Amino acid sequence: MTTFLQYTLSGLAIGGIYALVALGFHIMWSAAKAVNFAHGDTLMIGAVLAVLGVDAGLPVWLACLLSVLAGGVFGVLLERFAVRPFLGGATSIGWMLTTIAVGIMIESLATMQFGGFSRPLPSPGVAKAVHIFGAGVYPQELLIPVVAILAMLGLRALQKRTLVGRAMQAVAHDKRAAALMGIDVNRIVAFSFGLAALFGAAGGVLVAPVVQASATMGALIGLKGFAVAIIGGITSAPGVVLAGLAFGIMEKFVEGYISTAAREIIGFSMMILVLLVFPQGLFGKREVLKV
Amino acid sequence: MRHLTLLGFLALAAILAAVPVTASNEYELRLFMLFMIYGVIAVGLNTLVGLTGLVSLGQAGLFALGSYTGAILATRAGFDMISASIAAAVVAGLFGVLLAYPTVRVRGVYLAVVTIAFGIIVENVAIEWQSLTGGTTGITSIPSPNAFGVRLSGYAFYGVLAVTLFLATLGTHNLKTSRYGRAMLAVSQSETAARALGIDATGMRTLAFVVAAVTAGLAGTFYAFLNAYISPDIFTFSDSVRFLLMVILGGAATTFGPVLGAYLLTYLPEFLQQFALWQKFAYGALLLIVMFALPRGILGTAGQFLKRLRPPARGVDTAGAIPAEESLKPNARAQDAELVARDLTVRFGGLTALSKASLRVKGGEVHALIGPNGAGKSTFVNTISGFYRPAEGDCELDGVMLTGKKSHEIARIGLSRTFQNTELFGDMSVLENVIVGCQQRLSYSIVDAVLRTPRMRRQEAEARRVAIGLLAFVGLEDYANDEARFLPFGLQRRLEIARALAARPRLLLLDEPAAGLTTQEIDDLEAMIRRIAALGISVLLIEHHVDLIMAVADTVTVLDYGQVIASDSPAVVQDDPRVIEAYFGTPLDLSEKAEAVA
Amino acid sequence: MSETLLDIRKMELRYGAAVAVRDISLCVKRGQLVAIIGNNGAGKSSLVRGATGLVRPSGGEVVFKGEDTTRLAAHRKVARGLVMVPEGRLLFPDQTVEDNLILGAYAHGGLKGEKARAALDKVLALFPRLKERLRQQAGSMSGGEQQMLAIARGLMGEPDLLIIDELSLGLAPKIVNQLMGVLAELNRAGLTILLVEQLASYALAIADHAYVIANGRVAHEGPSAELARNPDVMAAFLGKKKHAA
Repeated sequence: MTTFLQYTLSGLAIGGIYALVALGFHIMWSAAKAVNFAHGDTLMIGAVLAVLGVDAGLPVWLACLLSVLAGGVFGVLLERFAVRPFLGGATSIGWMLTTIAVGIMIESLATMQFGGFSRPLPSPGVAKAVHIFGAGVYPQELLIPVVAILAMLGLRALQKRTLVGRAMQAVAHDKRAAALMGIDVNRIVAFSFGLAALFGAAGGVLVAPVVQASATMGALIGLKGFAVAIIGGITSAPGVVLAGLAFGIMEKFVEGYISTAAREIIGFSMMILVLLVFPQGLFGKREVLKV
Repeated sequence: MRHLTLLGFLALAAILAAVPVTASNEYELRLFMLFMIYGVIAVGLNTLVGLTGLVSLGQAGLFALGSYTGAILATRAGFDMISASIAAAVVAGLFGVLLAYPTVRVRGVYLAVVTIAFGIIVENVAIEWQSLTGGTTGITSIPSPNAFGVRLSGYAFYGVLAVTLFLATLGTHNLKTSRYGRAMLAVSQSETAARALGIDATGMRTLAFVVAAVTAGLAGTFYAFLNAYISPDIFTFSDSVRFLLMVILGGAATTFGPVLGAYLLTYLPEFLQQFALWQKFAYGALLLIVMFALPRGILGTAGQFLKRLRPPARGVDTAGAIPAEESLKPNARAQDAELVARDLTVRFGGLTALSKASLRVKGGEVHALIGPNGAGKSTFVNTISGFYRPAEGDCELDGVMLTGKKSHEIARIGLSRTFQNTELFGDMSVLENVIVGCQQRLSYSIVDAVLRTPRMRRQEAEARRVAIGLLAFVGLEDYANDEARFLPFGLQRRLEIARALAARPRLLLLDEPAAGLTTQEIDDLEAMIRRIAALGISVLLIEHHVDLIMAVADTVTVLDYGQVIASDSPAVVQDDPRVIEAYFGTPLDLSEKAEAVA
Repeated sequence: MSETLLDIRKMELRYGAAVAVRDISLCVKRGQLVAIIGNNGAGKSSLVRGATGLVRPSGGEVVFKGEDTTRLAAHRKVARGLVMVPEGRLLFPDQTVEDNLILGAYAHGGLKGEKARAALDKVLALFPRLKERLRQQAGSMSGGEQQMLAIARGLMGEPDLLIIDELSLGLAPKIVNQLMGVLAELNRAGLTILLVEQLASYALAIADHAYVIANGRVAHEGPSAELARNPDVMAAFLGKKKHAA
């Protein structure tokens, strides 16, 4: 029972990170039918900059805030210079490779700044573990899935209650119709990439105290976040969050009972299977193709 | 271009032969051998990326699969390098089929992610399955290269690699210039049109995946023997990116581009070493620069430049062409070419786009299908040509049931079509577009294609003569070598008709062929439709230009709100009050205006 | 003479190699209801897409309220008062009726101001049926209701000129009649309207002035009443010319 609870709780923590990253993919895909393939590196930027900020003597909260904002700026710039020039092309190979290229460059810069080391971000959330029915977790870990769900609810509120949120939905549905409403589609797309990057960087700041920040921490989490978005259905925000949390729990169980390698095998196989059976994901909307 | 290709192969052979003589030390030779292995992967991947337009970011997975299969067979079962590499190629090829399967449902980014996932899965299976793969330590005791029980010297191994690279390049080049390569290019440029010409798009994508997998598997075994040691961390996502970059950098779809790309990226790390810490950064920056400055790659860009510098003759000599009258002759057993559609009903969600629509195109007639916008004409066309499935009703051509068949099968039965928004293969030449249409006249196998057997050459030559004849039929022989997308629009329409005719239809379906044409062009079209009908081919014409319909149609069927409201001779239909209403609307009754707001 | 709102001068518009609009000049004055009629594929929709900036014309000028707007993006023209109800309506089907209306007022900051509230009340008074369905998803309504919403959404943009592309598409004749009545009324209340319509008789019945487009050119032009009587216009639609001759 304790093991069961332990796996579930720590699974929710890492799952919350996947959910945040996958939400970012959802936002980008909705806006542009394109994503940042180096979105995992946005998470890394958040984590690494926060650690560097603390190094520079900033208070933890300020370092975190600034690094999340920096992540957002990165998202906007990346959209403008690496994604937009390739939108509307016949294939997606252009922006896939440019964003991968930017990811390689960012990772290399981070390695130079940070060295090849992993370092934790100090946080009051990991000062002392709490025990729930014998399962020990840090408050920080409990915080992560909560933030992921709040982010999803916040996104929903944004879409339902604000003009920019409504415009995001309009752009996601039909860019031309949106332009006819007077919406500057490019700006909404840039905003979406910025917002997705904010979520990604926030994920980095949240996870850094638990798993340690390093220049290479983002790559695999990014890919898994994308896998989760596909499983949940990239068009559905609640779907990807749910899929993220479930994926995290699944990982902890497989990791605990079998091995980390089996974790990756099962996780990614699941993604391929879901894609074959439900091309639109478990909770996604079918995108209709017309001849 | 042809001479250049020949020159290229000679140069490649010369370089491959010269390097071992000039290499000053073993390290240099070894690096060159590594390049040749990468080159084999790249030319195979080019078939997938360059011809079929699919992105694989999991090539390292296939490479690993080949490596492990070869290494395990060599260490555990005592296979020599040659038999191990063949077995590895087969295993990788089977996984290629497996990887191609998702393309039935997903493309683009989704496919890229599937291939990434595949790569990660292979990497982790190698870690996990310790009893077979040695886990993270890998396989260490790989014997030195051997063949038929004889240990190969360094130079002999070099020779095997050089021959493999040369043959792989030649083989994929031959494939590219055969009906298979053309079909792949066609599928990537317009899958809809390719299917409508009888090309099995899924089959072509599977073939491309298999070619990419087999070469990666082969290269994998050679790599294992070259390195004498393999472990999971050699085959990572960034290697997959590198393989893809080799193809893009050198020039996707070019013959020698991938080889050049592989060369550059094998030697690049050596060069980048001077940047020390900045090495990886420079690599990323290079990738970025290539995407912006050379999206067609080095040889792709060079090829274009050359074309502009010395443009090929635009036209083609029609001497020796097989005239359309001959190539379009109906098969010996007389066919009526009669199309019967019965009670076709098509629904999209809750919307009924077509409701019990029936239509009969009598053999050899020109039958027009008209109706206001949104009446269901396009739905009808897409249903009989197999792009939509009807909820009820069926459709047959000369008694052969079309309903339930795939669009490429319907095309093979004898229904060819053009498209409302022309669907040409834009990057191909005008002549090549028509030759793609000839696909069903070609029956040579993939082995014939790779080896360029006499059978293949004979059939290709004949297809070319037929295509030139058809170009002459529509009056495009003077544009034969132009790229299709640069043709003026009116000529694009004509090209589409020639291409559809190449598929030897019994029934030709023209979907708004006059849209966007000038009055003069419409008159020409009218004459062409008459000439086609005179060849015994039935024509189903979907059109808005009433003048044209009235002039050429034997029968006119009118659709409105998804239903057939009239079907008769043009003169009768023209005066039918229901037709007039469908086109003009009921005149506004001003008394109704009062209730309008309510 | 009232002010010229929209002045299209010698527009040419291509999609790749295809020429959709060859050479069309057209003029709409404030207070007018102008109709553009013609067969499908004649270039009507391309013409208005060029005018609104959805597609950039390859030649000619689009002058709106005295300003050359040829190279202006669509969303900037909306802010200047050039609003279009597009062909096929292009509602946002997953969003509510209210959301659609708010998006219609995007250029004016949504429903923030007093003015926008007033516009909403006015629009809902015009289409009481929408008022009952404010919270309903736009995609779940009938075709006629969707077209009402599309027009209402256009009105929320506080247009100086409202372009309506293919109002009748997929609608039953009775509903088309009703909506045409609404347009006539809006026009009487002072709204300038450019109506693109395939079903000529409807459009000619309510328009002041009309253009008949064929093959990317203006085939006829004049007061609608005159065009409605002109046998050549009917011939252009049903192709009688060639055979009558």
